Amino acid sequence: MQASGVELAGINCLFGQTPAIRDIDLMVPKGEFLALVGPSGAGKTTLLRVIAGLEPGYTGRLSIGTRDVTRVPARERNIGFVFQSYALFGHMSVKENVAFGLRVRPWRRRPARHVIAQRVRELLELVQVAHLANRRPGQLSGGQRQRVALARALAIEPELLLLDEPFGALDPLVRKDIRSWLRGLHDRLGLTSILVTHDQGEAIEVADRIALLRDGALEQVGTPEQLDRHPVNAFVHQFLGESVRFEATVRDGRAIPHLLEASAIPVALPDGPAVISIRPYEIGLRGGEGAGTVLFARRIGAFTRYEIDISGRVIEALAPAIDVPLSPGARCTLDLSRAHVFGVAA
Amino acid sequence: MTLASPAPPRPGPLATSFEPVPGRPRHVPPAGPGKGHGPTVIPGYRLSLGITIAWVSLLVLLPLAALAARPWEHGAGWLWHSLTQERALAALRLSFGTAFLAASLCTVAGLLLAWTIARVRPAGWRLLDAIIDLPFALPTAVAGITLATLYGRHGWVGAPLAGAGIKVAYTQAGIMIALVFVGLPFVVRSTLPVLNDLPHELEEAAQTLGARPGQIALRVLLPAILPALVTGFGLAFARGVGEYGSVIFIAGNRPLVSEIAPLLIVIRLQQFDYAGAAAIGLVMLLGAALILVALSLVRALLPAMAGARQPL
Amino acid sequence: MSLRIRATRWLLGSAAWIVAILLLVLPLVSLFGEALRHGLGAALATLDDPDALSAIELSLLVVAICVPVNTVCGIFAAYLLTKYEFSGRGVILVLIELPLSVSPVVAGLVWVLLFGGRGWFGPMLTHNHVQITFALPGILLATLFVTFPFVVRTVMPVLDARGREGEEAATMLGAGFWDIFLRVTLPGIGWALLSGVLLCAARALGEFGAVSVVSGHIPGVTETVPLRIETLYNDYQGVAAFTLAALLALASGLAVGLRGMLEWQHRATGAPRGNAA
Repeated sequence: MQASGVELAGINCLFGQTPAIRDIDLMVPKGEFLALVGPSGAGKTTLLRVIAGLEPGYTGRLSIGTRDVTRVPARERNIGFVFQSYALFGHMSVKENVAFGLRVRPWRRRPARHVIAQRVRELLELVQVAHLANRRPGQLSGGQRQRVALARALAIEPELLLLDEPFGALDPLVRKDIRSWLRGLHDRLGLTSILVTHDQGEAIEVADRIALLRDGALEQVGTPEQLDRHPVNAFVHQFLGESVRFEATVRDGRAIPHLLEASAIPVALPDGPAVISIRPYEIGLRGGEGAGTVLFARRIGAFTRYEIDISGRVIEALAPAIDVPLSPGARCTLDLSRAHVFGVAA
Repeated sequence: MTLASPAPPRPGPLATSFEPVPGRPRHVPPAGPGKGHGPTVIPGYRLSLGITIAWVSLLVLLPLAALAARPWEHGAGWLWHSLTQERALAALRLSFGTAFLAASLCTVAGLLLAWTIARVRPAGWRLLDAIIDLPFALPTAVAGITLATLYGRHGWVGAPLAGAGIKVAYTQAGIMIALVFVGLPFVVRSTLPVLNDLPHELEEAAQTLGARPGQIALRVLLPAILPALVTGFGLAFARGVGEYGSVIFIAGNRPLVSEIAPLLIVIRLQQFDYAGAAAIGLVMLLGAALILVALSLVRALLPAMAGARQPL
Repeated sequence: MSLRIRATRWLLGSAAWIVAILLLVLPLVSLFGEALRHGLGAALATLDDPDALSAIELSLLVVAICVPVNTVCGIFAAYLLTKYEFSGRGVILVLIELPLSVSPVVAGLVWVLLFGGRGWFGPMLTHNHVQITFALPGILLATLFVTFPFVVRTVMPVLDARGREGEEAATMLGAGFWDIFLRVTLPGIGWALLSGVLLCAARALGEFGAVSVVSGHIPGVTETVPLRIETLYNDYQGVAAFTLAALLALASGLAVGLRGMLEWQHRATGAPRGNAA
């Protein structure tokens, strides 16, 4: 049994009359890097703010470490929070920004002036912006601001680090760099971190586990591999990567895609409607007769990308380029045996 | 005096590679968290609420309650009589009438000034821009005695005018001059920023479509600044209705002729007719409120009208 | 064509200057001209008048009391109205705007209705020998009313544009209300606050109508500078009146001019400093 970093039990949160967060149970072990992902409006940021204590009026139970913080105000939760816009204090220097959390402590817990200065220096070195200590946030680049915001959040020695779309405002090149650097820092400091992102690629690359949210509720929590190999529903499968979707009917242990009766797949599902979801590179193509007509084919690197017409619907498929290429106009059958099939509850 | 400006656009939701899956109703929260909407945990609510309520109640609510209640203390019939006295009617008519005319003049002169500063940029336009604020900087009593002297019988402007047989000071024309003076900056200050912010592409696009300068001004630029112009007119009008200090020195203050409503309030107070003074005060306040409400309605209708007239 | 455009531009430029000079500059020149009619010495000599000096003293006292009150309360109100959402917010916003559309005379009248001899609280005050109208408290109340919205209205847009994240970040770092308010919120609105304060001070210094109604015009006691100017003007002491008026215009112009420079500079430096938005 691992030590608990954060534990959420039955968390609900309303925005006016609409539920923004619904019945969330989630355990994040100490030292884990968890990514909260989901489409816009899924409630990722709201959930993060609930954990931080910035959303009033939620119900449920929330504990950090061994401490129940459900009723603890945000300022006493000792959580590091990195805002999407960084929210650096524009009128303070970088140094003062980082020192803020230590300076506002009640005087009994406040470190001496030189201790604060020393700590700030260490933090700025840790995030590699020591040379910018006297600059104002306005004079920094996006990546530098990000590091300062992180140093400021770490200054209060938080048990838990929350990051709200921390790479959102960075350009793609810096993004990749700072992402792996952040992951390294997390491991080195032994932090527990929760990151919000709408970019599943980012989550897959940086997180130990992914929690996928939709409409304020958790769809699935697991390692990136678990989510990819064993998605609980079509939504999870589709969110984690490009996919092609077919409506289907299950009859006698076979899922029969509409318009593609020939590509039926054996499944262990009761009779009824179902959804077939498959990655474009998992679709097997065989030339000859079949329901599909190749509209377009282009070799890109090791793959050939096809656009295939199935009775008016165009889907995309990727096939290894070593296979015999199909030319536009050729007919083909589609092998969907590697697909995931999900029953649709009526 | 600060003018309302349109709210900055809020950033839209981030685009994702995600496509909605049918089967479950998509739910969109009314507003994103932490964008200045909804409840918050920022401390200080009770303290700032307490201070604000105490401040607003003592300094605004209580006095306005007195203003709203006291006209009625001798009954509605008395109130009606007090307001429909010839002298009261004349004063109200004068205040609202001259304020309306003065605001109209301000709109013309203000449009000329704003347009010229923004589009023509004549020699010394920065100085011209700064000069516009003079009436804001000049206390009303100072403006009052200065205008009264300037346009008086022996004044620099008044004397030549008197020679030509035109009397300005101590007439309604004098009141107009004072009101134009105090109202002008409102029109310029509400119009100029809009004119400055109009993208040059707008004019260039019109030019490429073959519009002549006059057509551009009338059909492209004017509709765009019309709401601001209406705002400026309304502010100048409302200000003019209540104006006192800059007017009484030049007005002459003859009952029925050049006695403005605020002055009648002062006179009724001196006669200890509190209810009568409050009655006029209430009418002026309601009148000013009505002007501002009416103009915001006009502004709300304008975009449609302006859009309909736009040839582009 | 181009000639016609140039002619039009020249015409517009000239027309604008003529309007500005006739309508705005001429009164200003006339103001100083009247004051200096008999030379600077004669003008300054008129200031050596105990009633004028006491008027200046009173006006400064009024500014010294009204500006801090409306500044402190205005900041709290702006904080309340931009950081929180609550029912009744709209009502408070309307009430804050109201004094702007009220005639100065009405701004004085309301206090007489409350505290004058025949006001709601008049008899009670007389009984306890407390004088509000025709005394300093009345002048203060009238000035507070007319200068009420300035600070809150200049500060609110700035606070609004900055959003709540600065305060939220400070909360997460363990700061309490006063640390947030004094170290995060206030420093961020510096220039706008100063601008509002200057506007408030200029108006407090120059207010005539409202103060005139409640003051009672007792020379040397309840006469502020604008009221003293009126008295002198009505006594045909032109040079004295215009000298005091010029002085007042200079003080008020300084405040308004300074504010204009602040705004201009802020606009010139572009987007809001920092990024706590």
